[in-house]
Amino acid sequence: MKFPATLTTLALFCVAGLSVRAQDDAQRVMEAMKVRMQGAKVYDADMRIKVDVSFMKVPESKAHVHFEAPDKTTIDAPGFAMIPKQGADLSAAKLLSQPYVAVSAGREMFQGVMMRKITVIPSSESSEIAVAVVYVDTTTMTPRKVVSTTRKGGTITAELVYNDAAARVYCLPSYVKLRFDIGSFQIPKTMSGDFENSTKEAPKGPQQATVEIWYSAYRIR
Amino acid sequence: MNVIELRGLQKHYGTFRAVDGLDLTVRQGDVYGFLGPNGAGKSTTIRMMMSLIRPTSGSITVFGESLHHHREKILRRIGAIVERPDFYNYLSAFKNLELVGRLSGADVSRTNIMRVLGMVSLDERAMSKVKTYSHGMKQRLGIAQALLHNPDLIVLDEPTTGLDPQGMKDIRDLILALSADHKKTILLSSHILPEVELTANRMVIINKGKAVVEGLVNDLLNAGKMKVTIETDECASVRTALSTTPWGGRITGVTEHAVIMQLDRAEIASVIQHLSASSIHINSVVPVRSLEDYFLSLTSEVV
Amino acid sequence: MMLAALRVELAKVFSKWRTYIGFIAVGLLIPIIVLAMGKEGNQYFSFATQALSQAFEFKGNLMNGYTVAYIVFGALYIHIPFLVTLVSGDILAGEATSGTYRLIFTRPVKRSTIVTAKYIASMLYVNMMIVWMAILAMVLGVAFLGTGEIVVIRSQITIIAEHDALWRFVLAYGFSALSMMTVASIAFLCSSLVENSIGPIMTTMAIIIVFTIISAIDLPMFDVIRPMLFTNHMTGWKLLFDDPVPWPRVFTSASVLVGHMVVCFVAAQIIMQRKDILT
Repeated sequence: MKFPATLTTLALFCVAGLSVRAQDDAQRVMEAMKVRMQGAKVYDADMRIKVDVSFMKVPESKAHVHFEAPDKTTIDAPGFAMIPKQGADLSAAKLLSQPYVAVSAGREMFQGVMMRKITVIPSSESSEIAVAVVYVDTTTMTPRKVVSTTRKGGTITAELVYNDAAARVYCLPSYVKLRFDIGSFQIPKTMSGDFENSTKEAPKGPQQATVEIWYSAYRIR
Repeated sequence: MNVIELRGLQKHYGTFRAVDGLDLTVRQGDVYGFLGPNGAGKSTTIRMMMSLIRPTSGSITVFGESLHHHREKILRRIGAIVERPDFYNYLSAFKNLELVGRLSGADVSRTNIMRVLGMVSLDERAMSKVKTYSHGMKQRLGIAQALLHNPDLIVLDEPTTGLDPQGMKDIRDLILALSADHKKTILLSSHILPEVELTANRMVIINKGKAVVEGLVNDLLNAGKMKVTIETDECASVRTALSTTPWGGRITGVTEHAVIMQLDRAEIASVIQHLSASSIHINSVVPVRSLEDYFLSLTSEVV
Repeated sequence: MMLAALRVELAKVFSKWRTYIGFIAVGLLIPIIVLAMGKEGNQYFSFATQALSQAFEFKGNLMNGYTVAYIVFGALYIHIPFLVTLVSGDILAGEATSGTYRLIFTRPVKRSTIVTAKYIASMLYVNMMIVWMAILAMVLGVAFLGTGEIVVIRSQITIIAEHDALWRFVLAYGFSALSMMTVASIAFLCSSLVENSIGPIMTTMAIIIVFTIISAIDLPMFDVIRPMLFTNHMTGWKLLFDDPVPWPRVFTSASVLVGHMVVCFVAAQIIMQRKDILT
């Protein structure tokens, strides 16, 4: 009867050891990316933003992002622009700028590439993100997808592409696709003055927004 | 040349016949009196001649051409007042004439418009809005708009209504001058019978949509009975002398110095002869045949 | 002769004080609306975009002259028909009331020419009113609030890029002129039927109100007649602010309106040709 107990104990130690090793490994991967991201102390880039919301038709807009370490991000637009409040500032960088715990969550295929899945749990109570799952392309060591769950209960999915080699060094993407939930939409007819019934019905219930942002002309210092 | 020829003219409103087979002819140079009691069909006839109303049947020929086929060509040569002259009250007299003159193809220069307004004594009020005009002034303005484009035929429907005696005389003199000096043909419809009697040379009397009598004014007035006033100081003797004769029943009135009788023209000499034979002294005999008398004699029996 | 007749009709129309009521009313209303929207117009957006304000930050000059011009247009659209009928409803019936049919229809001009000249004068008045509204809204709006994107709030929110705005406005004002000419045509037809100008004005407004209500009530029994009602097509100018513009619907609505105009004009001509002038 001692044998099974011993084996069990040994097995538990092995799993714990492996877990600790896995956590160490995930933490190392995230730290490595963080270091690369922090390498860009100051950068500027041009943005082209395309917003897709079911009850809105919005033209593409242009904007400009300016970042100064550690966390000062300014987005300006010469004309009209709809800037998503979350995600436009390169979500992975913001996520890793605060204390966190990273845990390996296995691997998964994404866009034809096997990615490391790492769960990132911010330690700070003030963080807006409750938990995030980061899909890391281990060949380039860049986050390709981030699924963040906010403390308010919403989910933001960011898909990132890195076509600019110079920017890739600092994990700065050339393209981000964001998807997140927004509230329900209701306009009273008296406001729209729209009494005809042939127009489209306004969509009911909570809606989802998709925002695509192209970054170009990086100036990194 | 016949300027106006109406043949078998009819206008029906349902079962009511406003004009019922009217025939008349207006010759060039006529001042043609167009008479009839209220509701006889005068205004309806004039409106048909001016193409304001479509005839039910019959023909209207003006200047030898059918009104139906040559409306614009004919109207270019007609100036008319149809019933009460109405204008754009928010515009001045000058502006009113300018606008209607443009539609008539008239000379709408300031000179010509002021000349026409001068003819009707409105030149000093040319720039006043028509809404400030009296009825008589509007009447004169109506005549001005009828004359502006120098028409060959002038149709005047009650042109002296609302005018004072001087105004009536002025219009009468204007009508006579237009006829005599400018060789215009004038169709004159009026209820003021003495005016027609003084200006018209030919006339028609219509009643219930039909012509009752048509012809030269003098001929019509000289036919039939007329009022004869025998001025004398022996009125009682005249009554006694005539009482035994067929003319006794023709005495219509006796005043202190006159006996008034209804006699045919041919009878006057016989009456005078009889009274002279009765040794009655007569101061004067005045036969008067008024248009009013003639008109009433024709229309009252059927009214 | 048509030019002479048109000149006469325009002189009469623009000599009446009632012609200027519309211009004065628009001239007073638009500056008030522009000022009010400039001061508090952002509330207009926040009410509509509250679902988005948590997720997005809006940058740019949204409460700008173009947006205000669009809003002004939509707001005045209800009231312009009344101003239009003031002139069109009076243009024939007014002659009967004042007794001046006798003055004009005894001229050596075809009745059809005079009626056509009156119709054209009425349409010119409508177009001048729309142009006045357009210029005032755009000029004042842009002068006070600058240019920017147009925010169109209907069953969805459409934001039209600044460079994409001006041609839409031009076409929209053209379409609305067509809508108002349709209203004027109906008033013109009513004016040919009666001898008092109040009747055509009231009748035309009653027709618009009744048809608008039928258009708004969502009952299957109205589905058959709704596409034929001109009020259903008068708001076609809004389609020009959709993205993409549904051109077949725009052309269909425009065709329906033109059809109404033609029918009203021809009917009025026939009535006036046959009419005995008794006034």
